[in-house]
Amino acid sequence: MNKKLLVMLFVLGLGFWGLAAQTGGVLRIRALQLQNIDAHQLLGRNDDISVAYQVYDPLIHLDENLMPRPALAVSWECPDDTTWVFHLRHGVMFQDGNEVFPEGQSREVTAEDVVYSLYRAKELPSGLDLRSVASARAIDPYTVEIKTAYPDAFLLDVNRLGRLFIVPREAVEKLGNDFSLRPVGSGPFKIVSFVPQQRAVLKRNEDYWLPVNLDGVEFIVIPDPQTSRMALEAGEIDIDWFIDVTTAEALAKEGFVIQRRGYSYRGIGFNVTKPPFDDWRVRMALSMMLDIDAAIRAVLPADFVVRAYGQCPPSVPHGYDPEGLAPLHEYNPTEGLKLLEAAGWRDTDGDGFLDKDGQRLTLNLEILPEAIGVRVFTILATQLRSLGIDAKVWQVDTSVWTDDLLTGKGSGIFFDFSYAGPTGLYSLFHSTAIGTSNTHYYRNPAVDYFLDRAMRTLDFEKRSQLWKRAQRIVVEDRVIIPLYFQVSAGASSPKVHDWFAWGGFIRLVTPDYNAWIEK
Amino acid sequence: MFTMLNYIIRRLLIGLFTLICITFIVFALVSLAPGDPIRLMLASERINPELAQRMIQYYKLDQPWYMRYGAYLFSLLHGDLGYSLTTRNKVSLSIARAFPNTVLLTCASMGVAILIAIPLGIIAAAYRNTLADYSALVAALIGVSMPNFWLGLMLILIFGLRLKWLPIFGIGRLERGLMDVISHLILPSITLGSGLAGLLMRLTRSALLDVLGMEYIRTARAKGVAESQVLIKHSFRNAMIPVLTTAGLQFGSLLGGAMIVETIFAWPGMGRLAIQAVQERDFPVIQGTTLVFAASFIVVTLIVDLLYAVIDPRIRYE
Repeated sequence: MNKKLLVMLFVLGLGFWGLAAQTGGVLRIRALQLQNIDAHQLLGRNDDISVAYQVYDPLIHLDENLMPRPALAVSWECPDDTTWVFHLRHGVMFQDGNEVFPEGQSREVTAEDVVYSLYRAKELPSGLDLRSVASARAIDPYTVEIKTAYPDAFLLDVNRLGRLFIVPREAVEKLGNDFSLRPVGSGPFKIVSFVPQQRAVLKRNEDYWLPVNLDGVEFIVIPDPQTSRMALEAGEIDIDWFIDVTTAEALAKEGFVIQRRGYSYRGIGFNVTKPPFDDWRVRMALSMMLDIDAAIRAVLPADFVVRAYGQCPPSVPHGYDPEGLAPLHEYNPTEGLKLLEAAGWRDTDGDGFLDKDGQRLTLNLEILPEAIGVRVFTILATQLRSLGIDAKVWQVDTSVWTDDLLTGKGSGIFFDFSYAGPTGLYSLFHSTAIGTSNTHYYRNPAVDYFLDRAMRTLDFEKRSQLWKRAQRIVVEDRVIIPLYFQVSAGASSPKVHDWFAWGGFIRLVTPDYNAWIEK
Repeated sequence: MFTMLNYIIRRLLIGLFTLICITFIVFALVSLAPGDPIRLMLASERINPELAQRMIQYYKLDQPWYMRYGAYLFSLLHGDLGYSLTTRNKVSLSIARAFPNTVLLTCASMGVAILIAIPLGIIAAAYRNTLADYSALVAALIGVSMPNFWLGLMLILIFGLRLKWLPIFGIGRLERGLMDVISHLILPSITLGSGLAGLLMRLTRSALLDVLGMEYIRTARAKGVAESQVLIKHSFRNAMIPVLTTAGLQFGSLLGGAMIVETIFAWPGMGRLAIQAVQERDFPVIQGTTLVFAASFIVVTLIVDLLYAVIDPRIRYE
């Protein structure tokens, strides 16, 4: 009996030993583009930001639920609605062994560095929206006070302070433009070399404030998805975090680990100022005539898609509202046709297509060259054609699509592929964003009111109510026909553990994660 | 000697004029095409409007394109290709990184093509209408017909994934030794060189057959010159003019980058740099890459023209 127990304990012990984090090894990650890793010129380039997360410390981390967690700042408080005080971690050192800080001659990260980085990020194309920040000052070496011009509910969002990387002023000033190639931060890895469009080689920062398991990390540019898949299968890379859903399914069968890294919104958008889409009845009718579930089922694997009833995905908890919005969507082609008839569209010449004043009801659905979207749109266009609407799918270059949407030169009905982050609803539908991110040219004082109030409401529950009310009006106005939230996926070798890319960027060492490779 | 120098100077001046024309055409086309990078950034909420406005002013995007062209030409004459709109790095730096990689791949591909095409072309011509000739012609046809992307992926699949003999992607690093660079070069250069080999082999064969039918060859044979001598010494050199012309033009084209092969093999060359710039409407990079491409082509064609005189001393530049 004792022998059996011993054997069981031994096996259990082996199991635990097998699961324990191991140190060493270099993690190789596929990148699509590597351009510039200056902490404050990253715009929205996912790969560069992922490298930046390894080189710099952010002021705060965001977890899988996009909730703020300590990083360089160990705690923070709001004495009033427009004041934020951040308390910094003691003893965090900038990386040494470089031309700015020779070996053993580094210095501690202080509140002055945070203030400098904040103002620098405001000035440069950092991709951070810091317009609400009125001032920042160092109260003492470990305390920063940030004042906002108005209460900003999203100050800790991923596009604001949630991704503010801290840099040393002397490195920026000494290196000049070369700071984008040889940056110095206080992150878990130091830059060994960075060759744009080729690779970034990083090695462990031995003085990091957390233990780091990996010896190093390499980001390697592989533009072609087929080549990348073969490189993953051959073991030449360990992580490919830009795979399409079809590849994800195949790789899962081969034993690779599939990680979900976020949702992106897909829908049909209207320029509501362009005829015939300036008529609510037309937009409403079209939404009733589409069998969206059938189109999605035909194209996307169930594991990688969530039906959308609004613009906010499950990763935006203050706006995700399927229960509230689903009843607003009804597949009822007969009623849709009646609405169109009421709007004056009927088949007067017997050619099988609806017309009005001698003009056929023609929809040119403008779409990006995105394989899955094109397939879904083709099915939807076919459905509309069978109901007497001359619907066509127009595949255009990304720049042309963007330009058409922004200038309003396009057909007025388009593939809505948009930012689905915490403030996405504001960007897409607030009237002040017309001409920039509000490509629907939508103007509704009620929506503006609820969004403005929500943006300044720090209480989560109240903010959520306001956000959902604004979203409901947008859906009732049929500015969009929400289709689906597509899950973005990444694949890794089963030997790679404890990393995450939720929210769109790879994190390897945080207080909650510490990536390691099984030997 | 002076005649030759005059010729070179004249050609270089024509080349300079051509370059200016190309910069004008490209600038106008890019400026008139829809979309600009600042708008792309604005649409994706990655930049605030005040900063966008500053960038628009900095890059003079608020000015008419012909005025911007004047400023561009002025900077160009001072050796300044400008800064990338997306990366904010110097365009000259991006080109300086990509161009040597492209030259390396082009030379290797041309080497592969010549090594295959010339011997096969000579054999095919020497043994006209035999099994060797037909086999060479079929091989050439296969080489020309196979799409680059398919051949590249197949080579990766066989030699990279299955046999694991060669690396799948990338350019290799000199610090890991010369073999690392060579091993990374093999698959992309075979992919790029195979199509070219087919073309050059057929040209070599037909040019040689033309020469072999000439009177002086018949005379040489009548005088009892060995067939190998006839083929190599008397015919081959004279048959090289059309082969050299085509090879030169292809070499010049390849210096502009081979987008598909560079993408498949993650080869960081001019093709990828240019196509990415076009996608992002990065005007300064588009201008810079086009300029380098055109200049390389002009220089290569000039060198080819000069080589004619080396191959055939009867050719004089007057």
